Amino acid sequence: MTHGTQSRSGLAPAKGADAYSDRIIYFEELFRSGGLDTLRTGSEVLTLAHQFQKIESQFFEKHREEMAEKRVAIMASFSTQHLTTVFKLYLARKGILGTIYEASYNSVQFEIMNRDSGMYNFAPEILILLLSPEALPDMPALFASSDELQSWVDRTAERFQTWWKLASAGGVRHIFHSLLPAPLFRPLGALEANVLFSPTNLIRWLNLQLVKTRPNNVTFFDLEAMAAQVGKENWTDERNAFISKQGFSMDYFGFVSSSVANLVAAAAGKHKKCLVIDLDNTLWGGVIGEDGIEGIKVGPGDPLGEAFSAFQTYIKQLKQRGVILAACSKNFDDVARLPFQKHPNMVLDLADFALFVANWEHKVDNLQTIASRLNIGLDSLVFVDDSIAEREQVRRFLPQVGVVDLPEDPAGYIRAIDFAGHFDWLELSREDLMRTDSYVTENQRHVMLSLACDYNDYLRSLEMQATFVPVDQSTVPRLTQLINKTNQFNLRGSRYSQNMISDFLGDGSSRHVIAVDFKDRFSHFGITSCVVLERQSDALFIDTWVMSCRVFKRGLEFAVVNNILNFARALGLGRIIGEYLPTKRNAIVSDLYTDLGFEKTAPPMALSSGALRFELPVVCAQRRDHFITVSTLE
Amino acid sequence: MAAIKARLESVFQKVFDDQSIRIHEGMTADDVEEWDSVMHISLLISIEQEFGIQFRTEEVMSVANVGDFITLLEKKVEAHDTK
Repeated sequence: MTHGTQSRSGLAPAKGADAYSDRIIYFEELFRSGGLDTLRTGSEVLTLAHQFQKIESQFFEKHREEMAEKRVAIMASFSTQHLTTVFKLYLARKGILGTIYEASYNSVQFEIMNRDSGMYNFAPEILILLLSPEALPDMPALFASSDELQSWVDRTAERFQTWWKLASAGGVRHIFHSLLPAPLFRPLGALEANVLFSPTNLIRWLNLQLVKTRPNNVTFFDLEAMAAQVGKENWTDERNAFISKQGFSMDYFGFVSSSVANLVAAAAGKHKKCLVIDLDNTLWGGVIGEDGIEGIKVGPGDPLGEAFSAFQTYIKQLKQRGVILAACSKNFDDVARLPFQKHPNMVLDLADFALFVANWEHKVDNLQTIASRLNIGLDSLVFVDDSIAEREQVRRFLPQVGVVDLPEDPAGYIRAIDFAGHFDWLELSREDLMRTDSYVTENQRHVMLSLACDYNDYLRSLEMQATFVPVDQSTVPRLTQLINKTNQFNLRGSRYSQNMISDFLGDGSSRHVIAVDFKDRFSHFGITSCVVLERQSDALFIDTWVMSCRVFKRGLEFAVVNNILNFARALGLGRIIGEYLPTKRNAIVSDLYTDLGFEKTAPPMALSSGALRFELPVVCAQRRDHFITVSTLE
Repeated sequence: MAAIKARLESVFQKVFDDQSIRIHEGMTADDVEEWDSVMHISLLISIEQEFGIQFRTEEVMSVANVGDFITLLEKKVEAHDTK
C-alpha cells in the first residue's frame, strides 16, 4: 500500500568518495527551502538526522563564519537519544552548532543536585529540561482538600525552582523547561474536568504556578500546546513508550526540536525582528493599481475580504508585541498608500509600518535597503509575499532572510506565519514595544535631516535627552538583554547572565554599572546604553560598553564618556583603560576610543590577535561636546 | 517473499545510510556496525512506514534476526492486503 510512496526527502546523496560535499549541498538546500518543515513521519526525520550526523563536522567547517556554537545539556524524564539527534539537525538549520550533553535516562534530579555531575563538568550554557507527568511526585489522593492540593502544587513547583537555582549557580545561563502536557488518558472520565484533584487539573494548575514564578533566565516551552496542536491522540505513542521510553510520538520529534531550536537561536541572538510584507494579494485581495479602491477585497461582507482583515488583525498583533513592520510592494508609492488612506475596512495603518517601500526595484534589493535603513541585519528579516517567484528569488539570493510560504488560499495565511515560529523570542520588553514606534519616527528624522543645513543643526533639532538612571535588580533583565543582543556597538563582545550583572551590583563588588535612558522629540527609546566599569588599583577599566544601534551617530557616546570621566575623577583614579576586542560584527567601534581621545598602548600578551588597548589619562582629558541634555537620576 | 526482502533491504540501506548493505536471513545486529538498540528503534519505525503496518509490542521483542523480520512481514503484509 505504501510501496513507492516513500518520501524522496528521506534520501540524501549516498556515501562515497565525493559524497560529503554533495551531501553538504543537499542539506544547505534542505535548510534553505523549508523542506524540514514538511517532513511528516518520525522515520523520515530520523533518517535525515542520522545522515546529517555523518557530515555534521564538515558542514560546520564550511559554515563556521555564520554559525554560533552553543553548549547544551538535555535532561528528560524519558529517553532522549533519538530526540537529540533530530534536535541537532534543527539547531544546524537555525545556524547553531550544538555541542550536546545528554544525561542518562531519568537522572535529572541527580545531575542537577550534584555539583560534580557530568552536567556541571560539561559546563553547558543552556539547559533543556523535558518532563512528562511521570516525573511528578505522587499526586494527592482523591478528595484531597484544596489546601492539600495547593501544598502539592507549591512543593512540586519549588522542586523545579530549586533545580533552576542550582543550575544557574553552576553556570547555566538559559534554562528551557517544558510545561507538562496533561495525560491523554483520564481515569476519572468526564470528572477529570470537574474536580480540582484530577490529574488533568493538577497539571494545569502546576503549569500556571510555574509561569507565575518564572525567573528571567527560565523560558518555558509548552508541550501541552504542542500536543494540542497535533492532537494529543497522535502525540501519545504507548508502544514506543513501553519498548524504548520515548516521551511522545517520534512523528513529532521534528516539530518539538524545531520549536526548542527557535529558543536556542533566540538565546544566541539569532531571532527575527522585522516582518517585511507585500501588499497586493497579501494584505488585501486584488491589485490596487488595477482594481482600485472599490475593487480590492478587505473587510466584512465577503469571505475573501474577511480572510484578509483577519490576516491584517494578526499582523497588527505582531506589531503590537514589538515586531517591526515594513511594507515592500512593486507599485507606485502613492498608489500603494491609497488603501491605507481611503479604504474604510483596513485594519493596518500607514503608521504601523516602520518603513513603506513601494517601487519597481527587485525585492532582493529592497530587502537590503530595508535592513540598512532600519540598521538591523538581513538575518533579522522575515519576508512574506504571495508570489512564489519573489519568495524563490529571496531564498536564492538572501538565504539568511526567513521566508514564509503562504498557501494559495488567503484563509491559511495566518496559520502559515504563526506555525513558522519566526518570532519565538525569550523576552518581551517595554523597549521592544517602544522600538517599533521609534523606527516609525526614524522616518520623520530622515525628513528633518534632509531639511537641516548640516548634521549639527539636525542633532540640535532632535532635542535629545540622556538620563543616567540608577541601576538595581529591576533594571537587570533589560541590561542583560541589551548586552547580549548588542553585536555592533559592543567594544569587547561582552555577554553576561542576569546573575553576573546582579553580582556586579552587590556590596563589595569592584564593578560599577552605568545605564542610560535616551529620548528625543520623536520617541522614547528606553535604556539604550550600558557600561560596566571595573575599579583597578589606579585605573578605571571599561569592562563592557554597549549601545543600541538605534541611537548611533547621535553623540550619545560623548555623553557616556563624560560620565565615565566624572566617575574616575570622583574616585581619584588616574587613568581610564578601554579595550577593543574584535568580533564578527563590531568593526563599527574599532576606532571609537581613538575618536574619544584615548591613546593606543601595547595590549597585554594574553589578548587575542586584533585586540587593541587604549588609555586616557584623567588629568588632561577634556569633556566632549554634544547636543544632548544630560541628567542623572539618583 | 523476494519482493519483501528487496524492500526490507532498501530500508536497511537507508536507515544505516549504506547502499552496500545486503541482508540475509541469519543477519543480526552483530553483523551491522551501527545496529545498536538506538538504531533498532529507527529501523523499526522505518520498516513500519515502508510497509504501512505496525508491530505489536510482543512482536518487537521477538525479532532476533532479519529472517524474523521477513517472516513477520509476510504475515502482516498479507493480512493487511487481504483486509
